[in-house]
Amino acid sequence: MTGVLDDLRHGVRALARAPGFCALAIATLALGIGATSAMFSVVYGVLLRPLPFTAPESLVRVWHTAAGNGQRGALSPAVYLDMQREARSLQAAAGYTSVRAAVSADGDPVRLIGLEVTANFFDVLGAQAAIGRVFSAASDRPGDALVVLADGAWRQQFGADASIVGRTIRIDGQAYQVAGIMPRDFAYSETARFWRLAPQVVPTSPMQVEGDLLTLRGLGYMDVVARMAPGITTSQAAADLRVLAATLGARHPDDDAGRGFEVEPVYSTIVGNVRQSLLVLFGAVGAVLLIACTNIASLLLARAVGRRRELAVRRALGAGPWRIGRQLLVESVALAAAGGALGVVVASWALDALRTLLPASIPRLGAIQLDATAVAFAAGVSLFVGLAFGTAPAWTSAASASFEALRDGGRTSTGGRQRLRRGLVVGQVALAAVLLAAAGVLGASLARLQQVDVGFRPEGVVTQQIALPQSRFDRAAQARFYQSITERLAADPRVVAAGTVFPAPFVSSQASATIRLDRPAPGDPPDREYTVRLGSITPGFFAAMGIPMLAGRSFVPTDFPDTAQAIIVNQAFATRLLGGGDVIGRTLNFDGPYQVVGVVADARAARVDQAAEPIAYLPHTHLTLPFVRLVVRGHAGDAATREAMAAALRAEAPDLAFDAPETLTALVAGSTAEPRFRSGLVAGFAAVALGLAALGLYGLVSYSVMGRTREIATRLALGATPASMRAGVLREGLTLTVVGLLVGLGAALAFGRVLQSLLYETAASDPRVLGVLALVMLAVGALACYLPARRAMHIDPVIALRAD
Amino acid sequence: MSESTQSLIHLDGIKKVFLTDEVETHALSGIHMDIQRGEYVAISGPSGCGKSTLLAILGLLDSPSDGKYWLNGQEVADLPMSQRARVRNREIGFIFQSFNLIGDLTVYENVELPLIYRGMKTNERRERVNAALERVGMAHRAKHLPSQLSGGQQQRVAVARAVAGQPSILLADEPTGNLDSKNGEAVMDLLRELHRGGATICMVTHDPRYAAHADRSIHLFDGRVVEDNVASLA
Repeated sequence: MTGVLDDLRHGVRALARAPGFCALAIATLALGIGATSAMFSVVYGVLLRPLPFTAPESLVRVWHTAAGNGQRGALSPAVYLDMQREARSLQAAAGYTSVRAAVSADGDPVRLIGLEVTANFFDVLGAQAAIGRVFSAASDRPGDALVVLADGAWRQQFGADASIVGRTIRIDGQAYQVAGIMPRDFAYSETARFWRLAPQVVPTSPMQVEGDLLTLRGLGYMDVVARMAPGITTSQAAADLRVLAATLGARHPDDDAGRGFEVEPVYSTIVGNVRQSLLVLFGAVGAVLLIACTNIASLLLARAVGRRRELAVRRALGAGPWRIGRQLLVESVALAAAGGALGVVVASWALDALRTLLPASIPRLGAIQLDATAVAFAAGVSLFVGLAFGTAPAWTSAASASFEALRDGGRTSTGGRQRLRRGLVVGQVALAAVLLAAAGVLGASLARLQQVDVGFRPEGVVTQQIALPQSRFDRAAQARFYQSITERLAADPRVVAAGTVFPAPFVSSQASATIRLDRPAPGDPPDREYTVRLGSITPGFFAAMGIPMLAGRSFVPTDFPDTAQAIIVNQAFATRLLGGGDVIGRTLNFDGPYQVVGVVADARAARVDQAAEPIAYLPHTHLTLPFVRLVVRGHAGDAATREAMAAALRAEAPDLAFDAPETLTALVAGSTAEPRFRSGLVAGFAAVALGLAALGLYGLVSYSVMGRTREIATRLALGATPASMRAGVLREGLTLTVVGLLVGLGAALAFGRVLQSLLYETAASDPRVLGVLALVMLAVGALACYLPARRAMHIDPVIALRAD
Repeated sequence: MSESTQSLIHLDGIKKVFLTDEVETHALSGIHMDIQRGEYVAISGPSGCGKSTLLAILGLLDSPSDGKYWLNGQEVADLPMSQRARVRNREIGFIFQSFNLIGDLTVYENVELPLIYRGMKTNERRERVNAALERVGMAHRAKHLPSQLSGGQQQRVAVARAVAGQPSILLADEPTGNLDSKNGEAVMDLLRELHRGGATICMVTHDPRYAAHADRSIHLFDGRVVEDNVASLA
């Protein structure tokens, strides 16, 4: 141990005497380790940190699937209760719905997203409150006016006042007692700021229901989370629920025939499809770290050459190869430790920057933090980097510390080291090529995505979520409100057109129904049922969105009464389900016959990269919901449109609070936020990688020219032209570039398979992208070699030959 | 073999061949040599005759292509690197032409270095280092860095480093080569004093004036010993 401390003492002193080298190495390592640790924090927070529930591996989300297309949907109250009673594979199941409500204590109400949950919700999750308590099926009854607050809401809306527990707050005007505050890391769902106890054994229906809500089977609106019975796997639960679905189908053929259940671990639902995206980014930043480390290894090798005499002296004094190697390794680890320590600071900054850049679609953003795990990761990476990238220089130096170095001062051949450095540079170029290729195809994919015709004109459109309290607005009042507000807005000179719609464009919600056609689609049996998406709109919606009417007409007030039977379909519906051609007048049957009165162009509904699906639009009076999206097209700028909307809402409902309006452009852009983030970050990493690789190449070629000064001078003295010397050096550097490029292209093609699922209408092996990449790499390689090549050209043969 | 047990160094048919892609160079072609304890040997010869190669083999910095090498009764020619390092540390003290002090370390630390490699305890190291520096008259410069010393002073520190571990033999490679005549003479005086104190010294030099300081002179030519003269005590 004393020996290691001696090595450390000597090492630190030796490093301190080379401040330039140290600063460069520590800064490079700090950037590499910092960026990697920041990205690790994201990956750990999103993918690896255990969910804040008891035994989260036993938790599953359950969906009811549609007959026919098997589309996932919410559960109706009766199906939920049947499942809770009869599914043996589930220990317990809790239901919930998302709500938007005005929450207030003493001040002005604030619109917050929350969940209305069944009493056993926290029992199922196995979650406890940080302050106060959660509600429980054992101690609380449905209808108790209780609410649990999220940590964020407690801090932001209630000033982190612990005495709020037990006090009463108002949610949409109704009094609720605050039962507890959840821990900071509890998030179910991501956006929920409160959880209020449902008034019945199931959450409130978003639509008014006549009769007993608990026997309702036709309207699915409940999300369900369940805890599997001990020892049950997800596939066993799925098999059990398949049997239950068949039983329910036989028991209730009108509502449940052909329907099933789908089960997915809660972890998968929460993490969704960001796993691959984050792992690609982590891989990219890891590659940057690797390139940075090869630069360090290369620097250490060059430094070791300068220390040949010192190492040879140590050897002559009795230090064995292990002792010399250890000395160099200790120095390398000391460097890495300094780089790692600074890297944690860099990681903290990088994480702050990443938090602002991460798209909202990334789940568990609140779980991303630079905690002890991340610091331990940075320390581990530092140690690994110090050992792994110090070993080669240490080993080659220890093995080659020779007697010759004591006599000639280190001028003897360093061929082995040069070969190793060349190998490192080839590796750097190859890694940079892989990253550039990834950045290239992701960029090409993003460009294609941004060129997609979404089927409407988002510019100039402002939208706003409207949620009406059902306690004050019955179905007829809701319909009247939507009609009135859109008419008021349409009359405003700042507005071109206004409408309402559910589901909102580019927001993840949907409505669907099972229908029969007057004539089934070609090849389908006559009694075939189709599950199709539904839209509920007011007449001005298509004009406000800029969705062209292809045939027929839009809705008119005469379509509003319950007795009217008008429906509008999109082109995908008309083509795929109605066989195309003139479909005006065709009849669709669900809850009675509806006649097609118009066909509109296809418009992307949820994501830019998802083609339009068949959808049928009903007048808002036929499918009335307490929450819709107001869509307003203005011609005096978005600010004027917002003012017009605010004025109209104030006039129609002065005592109600509404969510802040958003532009449709922002909503559409939100759909491509993740690819933009991914592509931007990989492009950034690729640029850094390219820079580092160029630096590595420059360093190697410069060093080579310096080492060959005498040789080049001799050649010049013997009659070689300066241009031929320059060409020779350029050739040396470009050969390494080409070899690295070829290796990198091969790796990029192999790696492309991983990337393919993240690309939109772009091949991971797109030859144009790879061609441009090759040109960029060659140009950068030539640039990196040009300065040393120029230096070689200007070596004075006389001075060089005199130099000793 | 009895001779080998009596000699401090016994070389038997030492050969060294350097192989490159195209050329085979015989640096040493069968060296037979004995060095007794307390001897002061000078090895000389023209450039390329194999002096340095022989010194590297004697110092266990290189291994022979063929032949046997006994050092202090132990056969050392084929020892693995780590063991050679251990033997070198205990048995051999080096003095180089260009001093080869480590610039980052102070005078004291330079002298201490071989003792650290030996794993000696701090107190014992301190005593040995101070004694060695006193012996060469450099104790007052213990905290200086090599760059703050003159060439002659640096070489005296190098001598202190070589003797601090009380090795069996001192190997000196052109120890005056980088010094002016005055400092060269001073270093030679120091070596002679060490020899009088009982040290065994083997010195490579091409300067006949300095070779004359030794009591035995070995002349190499083309990798062979061509002359081995013992100076008369008169």
